[in-house]
Amino acid sequence: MHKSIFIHMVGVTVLAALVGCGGRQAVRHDELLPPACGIVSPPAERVDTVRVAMFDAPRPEHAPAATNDAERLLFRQLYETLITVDCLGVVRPALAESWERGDGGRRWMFELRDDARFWDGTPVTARDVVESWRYTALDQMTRGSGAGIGSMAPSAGIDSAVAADQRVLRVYFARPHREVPRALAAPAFAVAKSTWDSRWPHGSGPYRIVSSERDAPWKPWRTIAAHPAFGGGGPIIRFVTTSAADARDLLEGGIDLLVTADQAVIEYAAGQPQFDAVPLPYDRAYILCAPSRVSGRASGGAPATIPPALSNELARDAVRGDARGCEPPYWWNDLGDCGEVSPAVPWRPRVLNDAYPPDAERRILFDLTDTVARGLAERIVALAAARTDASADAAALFSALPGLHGGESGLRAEGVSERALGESLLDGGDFAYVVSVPRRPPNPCDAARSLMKRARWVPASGSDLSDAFIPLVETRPHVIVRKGTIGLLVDWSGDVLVINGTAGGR
Amino acid sequence: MNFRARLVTFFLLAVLLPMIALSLLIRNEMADRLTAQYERRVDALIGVIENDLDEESGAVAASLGVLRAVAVDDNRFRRAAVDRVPEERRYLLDYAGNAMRLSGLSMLQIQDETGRIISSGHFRNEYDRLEPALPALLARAPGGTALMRARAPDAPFLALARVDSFQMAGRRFTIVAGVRVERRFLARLARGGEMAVSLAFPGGVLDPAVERSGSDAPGARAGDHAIVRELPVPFIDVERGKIAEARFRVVHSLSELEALRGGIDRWFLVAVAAAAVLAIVLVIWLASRISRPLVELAGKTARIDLDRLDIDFETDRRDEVGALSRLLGAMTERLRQSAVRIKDAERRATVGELARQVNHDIKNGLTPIRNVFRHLVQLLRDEPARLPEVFRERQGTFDSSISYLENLASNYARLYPRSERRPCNVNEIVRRVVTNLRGPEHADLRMNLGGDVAVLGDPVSLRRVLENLVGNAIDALAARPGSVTVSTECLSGGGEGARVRITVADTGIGMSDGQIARVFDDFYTTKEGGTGLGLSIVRRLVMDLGGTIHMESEEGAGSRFIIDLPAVEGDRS
Repeated sequence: MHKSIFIHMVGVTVLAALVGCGGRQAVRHDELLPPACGIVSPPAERVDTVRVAMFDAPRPEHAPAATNDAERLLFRQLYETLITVDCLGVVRPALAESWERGDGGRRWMFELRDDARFWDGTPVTARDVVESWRYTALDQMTRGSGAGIGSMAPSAGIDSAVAADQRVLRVYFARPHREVPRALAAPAFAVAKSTWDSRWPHGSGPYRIVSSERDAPWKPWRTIAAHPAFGGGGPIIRFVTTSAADARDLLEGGIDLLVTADQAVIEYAAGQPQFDAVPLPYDRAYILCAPSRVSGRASGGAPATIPPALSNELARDAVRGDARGCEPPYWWNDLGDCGEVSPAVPWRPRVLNDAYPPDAERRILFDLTDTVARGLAERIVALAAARTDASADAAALFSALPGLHGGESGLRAEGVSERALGESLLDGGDFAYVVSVPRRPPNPCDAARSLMKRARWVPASGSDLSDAFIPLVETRPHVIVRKGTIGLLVDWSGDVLVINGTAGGR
Repeated sequence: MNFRARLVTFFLLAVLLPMIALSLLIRNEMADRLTAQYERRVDALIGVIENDLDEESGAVAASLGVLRAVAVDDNRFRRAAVDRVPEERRYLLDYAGNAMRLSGLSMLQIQDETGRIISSGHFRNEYDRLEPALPALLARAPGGTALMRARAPDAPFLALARVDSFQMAGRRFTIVAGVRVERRFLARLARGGEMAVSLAFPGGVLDPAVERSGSDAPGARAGDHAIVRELPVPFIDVERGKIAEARFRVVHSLSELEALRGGIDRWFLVAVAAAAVLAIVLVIWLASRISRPLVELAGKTARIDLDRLDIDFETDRRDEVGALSRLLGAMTERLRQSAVRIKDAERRATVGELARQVNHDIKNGLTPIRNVFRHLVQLLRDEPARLPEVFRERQGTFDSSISYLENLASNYARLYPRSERRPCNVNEIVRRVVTNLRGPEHADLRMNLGGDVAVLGDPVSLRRVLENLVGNAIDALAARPGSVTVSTECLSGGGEGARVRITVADTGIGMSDGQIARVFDDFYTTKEGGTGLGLSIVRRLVMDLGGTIHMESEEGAGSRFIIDLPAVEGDRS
């Protein structure tokens, strides 16, 4: 349950300007946000401290590129990207106050915000941005999740980045973009600066780390205190990291905000008058990855997909949580603008067998900590155990998933560790996989490349990955917030933004 | 087999066989009692297992009763299951799982009157599956409890299940609940240690030992385990729509029993072996003690000889051995007296024999002289003129006979006649003997001599041999006309050297087979007034010459004496 909870909170001091894309446009920080993105109103009175629950342990060496939900929550609060994308998909200025398109869309020149400062008061320069990106890329490369500046470039389509002067940054892309590339809003492109006197790299975000300590030797949680970076009027945020407590206990213990998909916690909070439980946008899509669909396609068969009725039934009955049936199109249905999406890796997809071996052990794997994936995998197994004519749902599933019917060994759902799931998914060694993917990634091309890195057997050609994937359901978490403490906004990625009514600026 | 061996054998049989038989009886009695005790213990444990199975079934039934009551009282359940309120559907789907966990069951599914699964605890997302056969089959199962294969997302499992039902708003719902039957369940039934419980069901065997041994093959249990009881239980085969049978197999390790039996066998073997060794030692000692005086008596008896009759058989023993020893002593005394008499008789017989020998030899020497003398007397009477002539002719006969008698006297003077061995001409001796013995009118003495042949020996002995044989041949004619032929020939030796064969054949009365068999025996004769020593002496003399003699005879047709003597190579003198 705890793993499934994630909290993204970005202290928003100023979302000043609504900015169109293209051309040099000034951004003003006092511009109002679209009302639809404000999901909780700011409190009428200022609150001194807000306690936020996290269920992973953030590590300073990962900053500013987050590796888990807790780091995403914290780092988005501490570090800024050049741009952000709001919940309606509108690109908004962040570290850059304006940008200009050139060279037919291959070159983009960003002008940094005039008052952009690191926590120590030093101005953020274009050179700092380049160095931060290079450091992040190298760090990701050493962690095996990236490929250096040359690697970040392919992931975002960047050829190079050059500091034109103190405040102007030129970014050259491999192919032209009509609009400013949204990939630059990804956490990997947040800007930070390492210093010798602090474990945490300095950022330009609204909050800065003041202390990180264990509350008591016998207590399992650690508290990270973040203060407004530049003397703003926002509250102090205390990020409480715990992995053992029941979220309901945390709420009763004084936690003011957490984000969860646990239905029990949501229902509990909804029944408590002091809390608001607000659904966030559907941000995850669960898909069924089936190598047999690729084999079927190779042998000339056109892979079917499941009907909306089955998808809705899965969302309503099979999933414990807030889910809905699939609502295409998805980002993987149209990758025509991405060019070559196959990852720049030395290996190629293995040649799958024409048919799944009938006597092989047929498993549908899922991450054993993912209750949604478990429910979906188990429902597929239950439908597979029925005859094809038992129900329309079963018939649709048999049609969409070649090899589901028959076989010497029974089909079974098996939860495995994330590592084991990744290893098996890499070569498609099992019958099928239930995994989740972002529903609205900042950059679909990058998401496609990332997905193909995880599953090498996915066909590299074509602009539609649905040959290998069957979308099952979409899910969304809920944010639970203590009434009268903070206001909340949500951005395109579903991240929650904290708004203090008295802290309208940075 | 000597006496001691027989004694030992007898004692061993008399002691060991009863002892071994007794030991076997005791051992079997102990093993039987041990087995009976073991079987009583197994029966008691099986009773416990049966009771545990009943308790498991009872616990499931009790849980079903509680679940039924709770479900009937649950308004949310009613709204979801009867009114089908969409908002309560998730509650209904989770209902069985929550109830299953609360009641400690392993499987639980609730079905409506159509058999549709409306909530499943062990397979939450198997909702809406139609399975009307399962409640019906379970309801028909003897005892109300049956094994079934429950589906699960990861793998199907066996469950000991029961069914119950309840009415709600005029609709009937069934609850199928059970506990998982897996290796731990079986191990719990076995209560660890001695017993083991496996489960044989259609399509497989569930055996905790297989998991420990790492093998899934049925029957992988070690060989010292035996199925001591099988407890049948109904098995619901939903796919075939019938009730089959599964069996809880109570398996018990026989290693402990076998160890006890082995221990008994080993100790009995040790005891029997020790007793046997002790008995053997005692028997050998006893047999030795009994047979030793007999062996000593036998040794003394073996030393008794006519020349040694001074063996002392005196003893102080008062038993049978002592009596036997004294009897042997008395017998030895009698033998001693008889030996004195025998020696005296022997002495007399020897003198008599010597006298007869001398008489015989002298007669042989005098016979030619007598014949010549008769011839001369006849000439003197009939043809005196030829007397000198014939005298000269027959003078050699006188000389040789006298010489023979002189030699004979010398030999007897030496008491033992030692032969002089030198090459001698056989033909010459034959001629002289034939010439000397020629005389009777009816006897036609013939010679058939081969080339000059010589043998190494005493000419006197050879002459004695021939005179005996020719004289006997003439006597065998029994005054009837006949011939006596003396033949010589040299036989080439086949690896044994050359030999000289002398044959004396007559056409006399011959001999029977019985006579032939005894003809060379001492003192055996067929002639009236004969000594029976002639041919015996001939045989000895021939043997002294290194030769052999045998005879062939046919009653009424005559006899042939054949002498083979080693020839002197290269010396024909």
